Amino acid sequence: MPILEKISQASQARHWTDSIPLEFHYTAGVAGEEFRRELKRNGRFLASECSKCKNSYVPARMFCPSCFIEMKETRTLEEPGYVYSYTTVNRNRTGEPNGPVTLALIRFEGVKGGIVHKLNVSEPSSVTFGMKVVSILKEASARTGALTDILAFKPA
Amino acid sequence: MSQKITSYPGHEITSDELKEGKYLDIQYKFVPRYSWAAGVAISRFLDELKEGRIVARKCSQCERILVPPRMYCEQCYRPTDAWVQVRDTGTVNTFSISHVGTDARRLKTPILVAVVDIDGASPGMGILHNLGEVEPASIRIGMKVQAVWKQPSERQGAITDIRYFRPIEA
Amino acid sequence: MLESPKELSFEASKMALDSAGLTLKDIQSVVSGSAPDAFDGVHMKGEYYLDGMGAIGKPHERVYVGGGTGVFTPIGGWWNVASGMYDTVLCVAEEKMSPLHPHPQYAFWSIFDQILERPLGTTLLWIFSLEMRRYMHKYGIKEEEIAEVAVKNKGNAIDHPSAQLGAKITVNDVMNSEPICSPVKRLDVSPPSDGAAAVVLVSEKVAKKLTDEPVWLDGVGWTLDSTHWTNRDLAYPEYVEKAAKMAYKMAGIKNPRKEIDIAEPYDPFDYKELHHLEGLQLAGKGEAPKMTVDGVTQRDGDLPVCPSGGLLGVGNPIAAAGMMKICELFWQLRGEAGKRQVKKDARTGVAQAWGDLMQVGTVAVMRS
Repeated sequence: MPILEKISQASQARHWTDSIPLEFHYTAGVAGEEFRRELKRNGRFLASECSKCKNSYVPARMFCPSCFIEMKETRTLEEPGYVYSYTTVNRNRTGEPNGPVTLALIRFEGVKGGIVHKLNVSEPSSVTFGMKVVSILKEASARTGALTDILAFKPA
Repeated sequence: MSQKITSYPGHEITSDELKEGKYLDIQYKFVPRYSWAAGVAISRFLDELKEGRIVARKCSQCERILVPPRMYCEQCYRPTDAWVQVRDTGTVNTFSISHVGTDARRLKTPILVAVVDIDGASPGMGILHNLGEVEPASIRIGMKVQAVWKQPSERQGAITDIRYFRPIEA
Repeated sequence: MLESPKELSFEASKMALDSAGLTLKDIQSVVSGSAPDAFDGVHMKGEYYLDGMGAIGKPHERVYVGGGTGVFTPIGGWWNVASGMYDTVLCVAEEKMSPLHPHPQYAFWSIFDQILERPLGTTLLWIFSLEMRRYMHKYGIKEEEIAEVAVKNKGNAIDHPSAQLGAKITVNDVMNSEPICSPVKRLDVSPPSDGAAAVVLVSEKVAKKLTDEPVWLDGVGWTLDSTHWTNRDLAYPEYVEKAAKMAYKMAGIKNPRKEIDIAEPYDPFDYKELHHLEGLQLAGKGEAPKMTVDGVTQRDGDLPVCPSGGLLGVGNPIAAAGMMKICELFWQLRGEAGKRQVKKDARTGVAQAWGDLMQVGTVAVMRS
């Protein structure tokens, strides 16, 4: 038997409006901290290398997900990245017109993982798969080790 | 087997070290807004609070009178049958003197908190509320209390339409 | 801690695998446990942390019953093995509470009813202090008797390599500590913590290949009550009793007080250890305080309780804290607990966790 009494008029339905406000202070983790320090100090991307399978990963991480061992070796990526995939966005997060902003997943030759960021191009249609790109960074003094230290990537 | 474990890893950091900026932490504030539907039982409950009344639902199978009201009896697992007005008096089932707020910050004036078993409902049918007009040291389990309501014009159909419960003078 | 949730998970998972002499390739499925997403601050954290648990490309499930999650995680692993689906299951519990500011307590505000309770300015401490007061009232228990639990557990934790708050303290220290939410005082409470803990569960045939002295998960039980907590008897955790009876029945235990050698009940607050000992049928109603005062629950007592140091001493990374109790029983039942090893020859132990809106009991019986 279902509930015997229902709300028959919408005007009888009550609601309660409130928020669950939360503030987070995240640490980046052991490997994340190293990645961010390298970005802040030297403007370079730090990758981790697995001593067993020889795969490397960017951003740096503590353990190799396939061998499940700690990765102690790191190296900085010196070569330009390339566009693995991209999209152009014409609205902001709340749905209002904004942009166009071109975003890309940037990968690096021989390295797993990648970095999602803005791509500075005059025409979205000029982006191609595999296009070589380099980062545009904030001045060293203004860098905090956040991904926003990278202003954007641009064609190399 | 445990002899194979030679160290227990982990890098402890203190909140002072975070405040001093020793680590590159990232801060976010997340303030999602929600509108929760009160549902059938609580919509009516809130409307009645606005009128200065507390209502319950009765299950005619177990004969319990349930506060807060619900449209189904969770014990008999069947719909409840009728609205019952209960009293705005009750008994302190248990209480606490809270020196901390919601976010664990220390309060200058403690909040007095109690589970109040409502008169007219089945035994043990308590609701959570605050106590007022009472010295913390004189609160006792078993103390008779009565709701102190907001002025009718100030009520908005909320649990806070009852400002608090205060002791009934003997 | 500096470690990210993935990294915490990796450290614990790797230790469990190393201890068992296995590698990730040997693991067929992964069961994880973690309490509300609001602590780590990652929605869908089960999906986020899974690579730290070696779960990429494997059947992975996250189980969740609030604070009861830690002991529920190996129960989830038990389903995997007992159903015959898998022979090797990695069970990992993780919690990182430190990201939430200004205090992890804040996340608990939103477990209360959003219309009838939250507008009153609730904190989780209210619920504990209201329950502790009712428990004391019903059985005539003194705060000093309850404080003995904090003294014991923080003392035991001195010998735990991962302990956050191991310390030699006195009943007076507890009594004189800051009143937070009376009758709850600062030293009655476990801290917020970051951590992870893991075990490997395997089928009987695999266990016999790995070791001559396996520890068996012989009984599991779990039940939940309603969130209408203000309608409940706050002096006795009936849901723990039901969960315990389910686990004891499965393990063939008829007289828990005689047959259980060692217990790791959930102790986020000192009175909760007592509450839970009664729910677990290891003490009569209202009798657990006397057992504690009499020293029965010390490491050299007849029924050692929380020899690990418990949540009060080791810390309370919620799900990981419950799993820490499973790890402790594993070590104790194998005689590998080192300085924490109990005096008696412990062969049968029970671990229990508790949580949600004071409504869940999860119980595991283990034997060597």
